[in-house]
Amino acid sequence: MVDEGSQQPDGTPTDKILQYIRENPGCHLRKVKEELKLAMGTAQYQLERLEKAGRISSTRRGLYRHYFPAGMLDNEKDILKILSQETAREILMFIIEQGGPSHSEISAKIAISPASVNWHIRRLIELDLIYEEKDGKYKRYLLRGEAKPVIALLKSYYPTVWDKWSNRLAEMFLSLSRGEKS
Amino acid sequence: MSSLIRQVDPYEPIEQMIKIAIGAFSVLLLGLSLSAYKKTSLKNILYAAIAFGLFAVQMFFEYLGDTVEALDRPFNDVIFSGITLAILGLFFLAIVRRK
Repeated sequence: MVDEGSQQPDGTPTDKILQYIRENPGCHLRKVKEELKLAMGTAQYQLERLEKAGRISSTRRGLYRHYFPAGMLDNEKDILKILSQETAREILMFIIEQGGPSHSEISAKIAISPASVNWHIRRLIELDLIYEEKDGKYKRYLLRGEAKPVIALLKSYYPTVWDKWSNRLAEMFLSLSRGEKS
Repeated sequence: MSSLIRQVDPYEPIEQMIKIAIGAFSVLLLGLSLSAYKKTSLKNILYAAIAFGLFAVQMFFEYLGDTVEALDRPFNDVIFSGITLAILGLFFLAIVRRK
C-alpha cells in the first residue's frame, strides 16, 4: 500500500513530517525537528498545519505533545493510556511475541498476581487491542489487527517516571484485591 | 519561657526538616495514588489517597502549631491523634475492602 506521504520522501517539509509521523507514530516535536533537521519554528508550524487539516492528531502527556497519523488507530488516546502502564505494555509485548499465550503463561512471564493479569487483559480486550480464543480448557490471547502500528507506538511512547510509580502503586492494590473476577 | 526553650533547642531544625520531608512525601504519595485511581478506578486506592492527604494536612497543622503560637492549643493533640486514627482506619479499609 502506497500512502500519500511515502510518494514524496524528498518533498516539502509537510510531506517529510507526515511521512515521519506515519513511520514513527507517537513522536514528539523535538524528535521530528532533530530527525528531519528542521528549524524548530518550521517543525512547529508544519505540525500545527497538519493537525488543523486533520491529517495528524496529537495528545499531550507531561512535557511532550505526541503526534499520530489521523485514523491510524481508532481509539489512540485510550490505547496510549494503556501503553503508559508498564504491566499492560509487557503483557501486550508478550502477546505479540508469543502469538497466543494463555493466562497462566502471561502470569508466569510477567510475574504479577493472576488478579492483576485479569484486570489488564480485560482492559486490553475492551479496547479491542486483543481478543481471546478458546483452546481446549485454556483461553489464549491474540493481538487484534496488525502488530506494526502497536509496536511502533510501544517503541515511541515510553511511560514517564510518574506513570511508572503510579502504576506500581496500582499494581500493589490490584494484587490486594485478588477476589475480583474478570 | 517556652519560646526561650524553643530558641535553644538544637534538634528543632532537624525536627522541622523531617516534618517537611514527611509533608513532601505525603503530597507525592497523594498525587501518585490519585493518578493510580484515575487509571484503575479502584476504590481501595482512593482510601489510600485520602489517608496520604490527611498525612499532609496533619503535618501542615503541626507545622502551624509549632510556628504560630496562637494556634498552639492543648486540644491540638486530640485532633492529631484523631487524624492518625483516621489515617490508619483508611489504610485498613484500603487493604481489606474488595470491589
